[in-house]
Amino acid sequence: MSSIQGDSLRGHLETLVLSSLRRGEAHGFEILRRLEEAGSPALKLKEGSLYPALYRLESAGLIKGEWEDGATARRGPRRRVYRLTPKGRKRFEQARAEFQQFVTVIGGILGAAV
Amino acid sequence: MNRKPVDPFESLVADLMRPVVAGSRRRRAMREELLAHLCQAYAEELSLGVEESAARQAAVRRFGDLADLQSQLQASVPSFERWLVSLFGSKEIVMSIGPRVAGWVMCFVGGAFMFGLAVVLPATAKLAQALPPASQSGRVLDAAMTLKLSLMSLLAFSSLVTVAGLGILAYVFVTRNKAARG
Repeated sequence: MSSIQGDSLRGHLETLVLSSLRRGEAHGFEILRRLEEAGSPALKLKEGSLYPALYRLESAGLIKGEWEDGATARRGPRRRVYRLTPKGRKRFEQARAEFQQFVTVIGGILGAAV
Repeated sequence: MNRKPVDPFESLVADLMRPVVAGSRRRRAMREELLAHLCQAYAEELSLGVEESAARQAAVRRFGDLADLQSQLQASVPSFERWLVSLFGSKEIVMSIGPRVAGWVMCFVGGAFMFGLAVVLPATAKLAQALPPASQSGRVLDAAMTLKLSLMSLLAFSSLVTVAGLGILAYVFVTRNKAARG
């Protein structure tokens, strides 16, 4: 299977992040792991590009980030843990419905199995 | 979990963040989070048995094109914040009081103009009515109409400035409340 990466993913990255956070709160690295697990081995994300997407989602109030607490037995720089807000959950449902419609319509035109 | 060579990653993240225009709090947060990610990627490579320098290179490669990331990070900064930082620098004090001061000044100036125009506009209308019929030539009426339109435009502009000022104050209020909650 050829990999999906770069520009093909860019338009969907934010929805993918919302989808990943439906499984519970997570920091950036964990979000990537979840996405790669779900889309493996076809999904090839440039890991850095996750963070601007997280910042945009947070500015839009779709996710909320908090620094992990100091009690975590982990050394090194702190990580930010993100969780979905009710607005983000609603936005995800809407985006999923839009995508399903897109796949149905375009898939039908292209003659691809939907 | 994170092992030694934090330093090369620190300098890479510092280079990455250097051209990004944002408030110092946001820059610090971005820097720390990106650094944490690189350290984790490095640790993951090491745990797969990759040799140290190759693990470092792999972590950076996985991160993606740095110039592209730089422009994405910049685009994720709200334009108002970018504008403020470009204007005043990234001092935290400017980020905290700048919007508030701008909001109050806009409300005050816009409100003062609106108040003044609320007095002047009815007065000019009365003046136009009070003109003797002999003086109501085409040129005088044109001048009165131009004056009225100018004052109305000024009133509309003052209202816009006041509303923008109120919007900024509301934004500051909401942002501060959010920050206070968590």
